[in-house]
Amino acid sequence: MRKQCLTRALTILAVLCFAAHLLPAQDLFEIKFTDKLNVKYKGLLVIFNDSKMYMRVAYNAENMYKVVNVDYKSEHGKTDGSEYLVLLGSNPKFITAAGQYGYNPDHIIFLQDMDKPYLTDDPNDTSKLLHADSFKALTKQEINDAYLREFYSSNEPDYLALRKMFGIDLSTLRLKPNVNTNTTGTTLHLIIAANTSIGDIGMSCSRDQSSLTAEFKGIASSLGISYKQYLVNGDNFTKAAVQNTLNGLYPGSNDIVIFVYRGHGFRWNNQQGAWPQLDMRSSPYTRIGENTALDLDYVFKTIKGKGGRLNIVLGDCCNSTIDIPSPLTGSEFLAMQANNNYNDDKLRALFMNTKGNLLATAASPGEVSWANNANGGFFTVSFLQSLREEISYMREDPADWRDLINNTVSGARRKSSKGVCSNCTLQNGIYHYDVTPKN
Amino acid sequence: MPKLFMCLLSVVLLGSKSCSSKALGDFVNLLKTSDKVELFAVEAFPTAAQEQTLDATYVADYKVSEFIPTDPAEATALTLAAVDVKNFDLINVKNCPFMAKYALRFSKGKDRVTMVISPAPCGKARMIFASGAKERSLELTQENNLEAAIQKIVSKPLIK
Repeated sequence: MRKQCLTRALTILAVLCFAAHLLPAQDLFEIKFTDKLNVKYKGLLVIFNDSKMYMRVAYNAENMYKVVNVDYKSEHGKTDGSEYLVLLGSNPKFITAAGQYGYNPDHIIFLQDMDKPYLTDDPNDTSKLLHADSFKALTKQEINDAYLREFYSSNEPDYLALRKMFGIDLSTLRLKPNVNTNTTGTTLHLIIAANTSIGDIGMSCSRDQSSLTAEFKGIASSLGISYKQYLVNGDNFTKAAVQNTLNGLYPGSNDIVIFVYRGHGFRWNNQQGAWPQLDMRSSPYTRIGENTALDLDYVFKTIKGKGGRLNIVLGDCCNSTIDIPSPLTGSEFLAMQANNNYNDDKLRALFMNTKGNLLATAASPGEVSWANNANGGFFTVSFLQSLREEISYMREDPADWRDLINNTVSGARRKSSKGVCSNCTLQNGIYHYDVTPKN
Repeated sequence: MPKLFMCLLSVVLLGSKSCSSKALGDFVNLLKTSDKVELFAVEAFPTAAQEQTLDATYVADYKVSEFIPTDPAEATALTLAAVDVKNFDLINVKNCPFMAKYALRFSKGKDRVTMVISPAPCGKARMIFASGAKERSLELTQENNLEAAIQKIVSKPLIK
C-alpha cells in the first residue's frame, strides 16, 4: 500500500511537472483521443508558458479533413486531497476551410495518478468524459514537415517558426559560430551555488542545477563561444567556496558572467537593504552567522567589479526575516530539458549585443519563495521558460533582457498564486536592471 | 474553476483518496497510537552530540529551553494536527532556512518520534526518529492546525 502511495505521489509530481506550476516553454505535446462516435482526434499542444498555449486538433469527419485551433489556459488545484490540472479550452477557430460546423473546445484534465489525461467538451455531462488514447512530449526526431503540415497551412507564421525551430527549413541553417559576429575570445562563465544536499529543498536545487547547466551549455554552443562552469554544491556548499570561486573568476571584457543561487535565503531582523542573505549551510547543525551568510548584493557587486561585459546575478531563495540580527555591524551588504532550439539571431541579440548588469531575486523583503522537487525553484524555472520564450523562433518581438526578467518575475508570481498553488503565498521577485545595447 | 468542473473532477477522482492519510509516511502510526506526547520550546539550531553539555536537556539534539506541560485534551489536539495531511504541503517547499522553535515528542513504549517545528513565515517540520537513522522534512501549510494548537497551549494563562 505504501509503495502504491509513493508511486502515486511520484506520479503526481510527474504530472504536475508538466502541469500547473512549471509548464516548459515552447514545448510540443501530442494528445490522441477518440470520441463516442469513434472519430479519432490528434492534437498538437504548443506551450509557450503556463498561461499561454494552444492546441491544433486534426480529425476526419463527414469525409473531410479538419483542423481547429483552440486556445488554452491552465488551472491547478486540489480537491478531496488530490492534485489536478485542467487546461481550459476556448475560442475554437477552424484552420481548414471546409466543413466549419462549429467545434466544442476540449478541456483537458490531468490527475495525479494518471499518465494520460481525461478530456471533455461538456462539463455538464459526465458521460462525455473521455480518456485520452495517448499523451506524450514530442522529440525533435518526431517532428518533420509532414507532421507539421497535418496541423498548419504552409503560410502560417507558427508553421514557419516551427520549421526553423526544428531545423526543417534548410535556408536557415548556417555554420556555427556565425562568422559575422565577433564571438572570438568570448566566454560564458556560469557559476551555480546550489544547496543540493539539504533535506528539504536539495532535490529541487539539483534539478535546477541540471536544467541551468544544460541550458547555458547549449546557449554557449549555439553562440560558438567558450563555456566555463563553476559549481558550488553538495558538501562544498559553503560561503568560503563561493568566495574562492569569485576570487578565481577573471572574465574578459567581452565575457558573460551568470551567477545563479539556489538555496535557502533570509534577511536579518534589523536588515535595511532589499536583497536577501544567501544561507550557505548544507547541515542544520551549522548555525547561521557571519561565516555562513552571504549577501546577494555583495555577490553582484563583486561580479560587476570583475569587468565582464554582461553580468547576470539571480537569487532563487526566500527573502523572509529570521529572528537574528545581522552579525555585521554598520555595513549593509546585501523536467525540463534544454531543447537547444534557439533562434541564433535572438540569442546573439541577448547575449552578444548587450552589456551591463542585471541583479534579480525571487522574493520581495518579507516574502518566501517556492520550489518543488519535481521541477525546481519557481523563479529559476520561470527564468528558463522566459529565456526560451525570448529566444524562440515563435516570438516576433526582438529579444530583450528587461522583457525576460519581467516575464520571470511575473511567471514566478503566477506559479505561487492561489489559482496555481493553493498552499503557496505570493512571491514578488525584485530586480535591478542596467543592461544596454553594446556599441 | 467552474463549479461544473469540480463535479466532474469528483467523478474522475474517485478512488484516489485512500492514500492521503498515509502520505506523511510510516511514522504516522506511531503518532496515532502514542501513549505520551510532550511539548518543548527549543533552540533554533541542533547541537552536535559532542558539543552537548550535561546540564542541559536535548530533544533530537535541539537544546530545550522550556518544557511546556499539556493536558490530555491538548495532547490529543497536537496528535491529531500532527497526523492530518491537510497541514502539510507534500509538493511545494519554501526556500527559507529551518528555524526550530518547538519540538513535539511522541512516545510509545521505547519508540519515539520527534517532530521539530519551524513556525511561520518559514513553516516546516522535521520528523526525527529516536534511532537518528531516519529523518523527514515536511512543509507546513500556511494556515495549519499544528502551529495553531501549539500557540493555543503556549499562550494560555498560567495559574499561579
